[in-house]
Amino acid sequence: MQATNSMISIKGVNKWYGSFHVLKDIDLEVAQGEVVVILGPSGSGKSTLCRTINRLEPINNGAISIDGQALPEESGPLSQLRSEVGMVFQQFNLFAHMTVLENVMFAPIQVRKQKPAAARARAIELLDRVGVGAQKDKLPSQLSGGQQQRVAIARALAMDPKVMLFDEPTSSLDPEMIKEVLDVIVELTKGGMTMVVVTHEMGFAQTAADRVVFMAEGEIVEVSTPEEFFNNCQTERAAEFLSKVL
Amino acid sequence: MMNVELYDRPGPLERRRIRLWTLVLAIPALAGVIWVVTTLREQGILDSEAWSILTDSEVIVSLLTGLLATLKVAGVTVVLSLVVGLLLALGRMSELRWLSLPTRVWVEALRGLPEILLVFLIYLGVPAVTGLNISTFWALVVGLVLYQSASMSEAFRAGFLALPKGQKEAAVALGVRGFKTLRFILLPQVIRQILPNLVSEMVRVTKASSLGFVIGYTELLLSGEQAIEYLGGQYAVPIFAGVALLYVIVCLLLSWVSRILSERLR
Amino acid sequence: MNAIIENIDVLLSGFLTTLGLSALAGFTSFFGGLILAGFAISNNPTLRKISMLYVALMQNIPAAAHLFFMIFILPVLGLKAPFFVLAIIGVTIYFSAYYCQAVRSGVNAIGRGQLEASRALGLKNMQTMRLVVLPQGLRNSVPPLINTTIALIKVTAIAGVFGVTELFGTMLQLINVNDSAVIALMLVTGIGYSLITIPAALAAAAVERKVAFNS
Repeated sequence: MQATNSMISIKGVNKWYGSFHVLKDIDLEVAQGEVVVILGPSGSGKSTLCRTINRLEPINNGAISIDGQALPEESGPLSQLRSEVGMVFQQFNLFAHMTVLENVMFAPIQVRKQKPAAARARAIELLDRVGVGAQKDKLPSQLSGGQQQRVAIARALAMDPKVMLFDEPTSSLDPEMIKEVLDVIVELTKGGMTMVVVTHEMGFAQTAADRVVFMAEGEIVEVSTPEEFFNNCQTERAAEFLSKVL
Repeated sequence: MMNVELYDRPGPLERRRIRLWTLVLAIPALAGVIWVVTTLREQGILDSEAWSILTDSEVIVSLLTGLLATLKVAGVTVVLSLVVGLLLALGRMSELRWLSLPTRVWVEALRGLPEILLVFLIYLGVPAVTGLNISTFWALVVGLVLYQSASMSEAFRAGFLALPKGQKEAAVALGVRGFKTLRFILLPQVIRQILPNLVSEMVRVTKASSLGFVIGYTELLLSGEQAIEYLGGQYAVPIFAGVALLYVIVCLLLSWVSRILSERLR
Repeated sequence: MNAIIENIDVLLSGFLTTLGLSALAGFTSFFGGLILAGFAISNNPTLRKISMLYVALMQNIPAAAHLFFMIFILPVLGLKAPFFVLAIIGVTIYFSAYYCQAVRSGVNAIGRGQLEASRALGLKNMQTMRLVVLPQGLRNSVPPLINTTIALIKVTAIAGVFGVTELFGTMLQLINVNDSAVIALMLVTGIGYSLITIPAALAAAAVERKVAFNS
């Protein structure tokens, strides 16, 4: 990938939880419009890595920048940068005290200072796009997991982010709901969105990824195209992982 | 102390801003402290002579004796409340309606009453009805048990309800019945679960035992009052401070034990 | 029974004093608790420590000791005020700590994910506090706040032995002159307190079921 159109740049990042070294010398560049899928066994640090990109997890050393701008240390500019990075969580994290529609309108009004009418129109459009328009006046707790996650995606998209981060978006869903969420994510990849997806869904990685990053024990072990990774992986650890999950 | 991180980790600029605010707020706070100290000094309350009363061996002995009496009341009350509370919980969960309904009414009614009323109910009511005298110790303990057993029964009930249903079913499947299921399978788990609650109950009872003061049982607060009465008003503040400090130390120790227990048991 | 009927107006006035004392002390304590809770959830570590220290000290001194200090010791220092006012101050010093804890427990019950979602969307710390933490935290706090208020109402009875003629104090005075009606007077007094506390407890339980939304 050329460095010129790098959207996310991670250089020499290390992170410790106490004495536990969760991220070891991570280097990763994600180009504009690229879809990077991070795979790896649980506890490999893949989720932590995803969360460092918008500094939900602070790092101990190294540098992360988004669209050429280093992650600020102060919370004001950091909020500004985060507003351009959409994030979808494993647990959906919809605001429990707001309706579905309010969830999606919330940040555009509060952060982008959009007019409520404009934010509302855009929110309804996005909710329809992810297929939950009919639920707009319900509370999150009245929705199924799959519906909640689709609302969460709409909420992130409402900010017109430059980058979308997906932190195990289907891991807490019942099997029959995984597809409805993955379909929405796949649809997004076609629109040219820069995406980092941490997942256990191998099928998704095979079809939707531009590149696969394989992590184990806090390190990036292998970076390759999906074809290469799934058919002809280079390392023993990746082979072992694949033999377990495929 | 907060379980959730309410703020992002502050950057260097923000840390400086927070420190600046601390300084700004410290100025009026300091002025307040200086005002209080000078006022107290003018009243002669900060005289070291008055405060040295706290090193007087007789005062120490009488306060510690009071503390011992407080702990005695608290200990006896907690043990009795534990037993009565368990019985109330079992009664309330019973399938026999003639048993569960009255227990429920009893528990709800007692929890709505001031503890001091229950203490007086025993202290004045028992002699009035039976003509028998009751010691201040037992009046205090029984009055507190009336209240605490009701609130402890709720803790027990919550503990039982939180047990997985399978525990009871497994016991039945193994042919264990009735009392034995309770004694050997359910109760140990419930006690384990509510152990931290029991210790924090001890804190509540320790504080509630200060009601002994109003019926004339010489626990910590009353022994402080007696010391002040005996020594004179100029010693009131130091002695009260000593009493308050003893309560704080005992209660903090107990809360600390409760926290350690709940962390261990998790 | 005669003792009750003859003194019904005195008892009623005691009941009203209990209501007034509880309302005033409840209001000031709640206000104090909000300030302490504000300290506890501020981003200033010094304020957080002050709040913690206050709660650790004041919550662990028994209510009777607080009232003893206000009514027996303050006059020694030359500060004189009506017992009613002193009782309000004493109860407030004690219960501010409890109201603070009630609010804090509500805020603590908010899922970490709610905060992360808010931050990830680009909301500033103060916006997250105002728009996500407080609406949910205060809602979570309602049941413990009601329960704290019930405890406060019951504690005001202690003021009765320190010279405030609220319901319990009135009862003690009546018992002094009608020693044959001890049980009847206590029963009526108990009913008086239950009239306030039991509906409040039911309300707290109902609210608790209602606010139990989970994310």
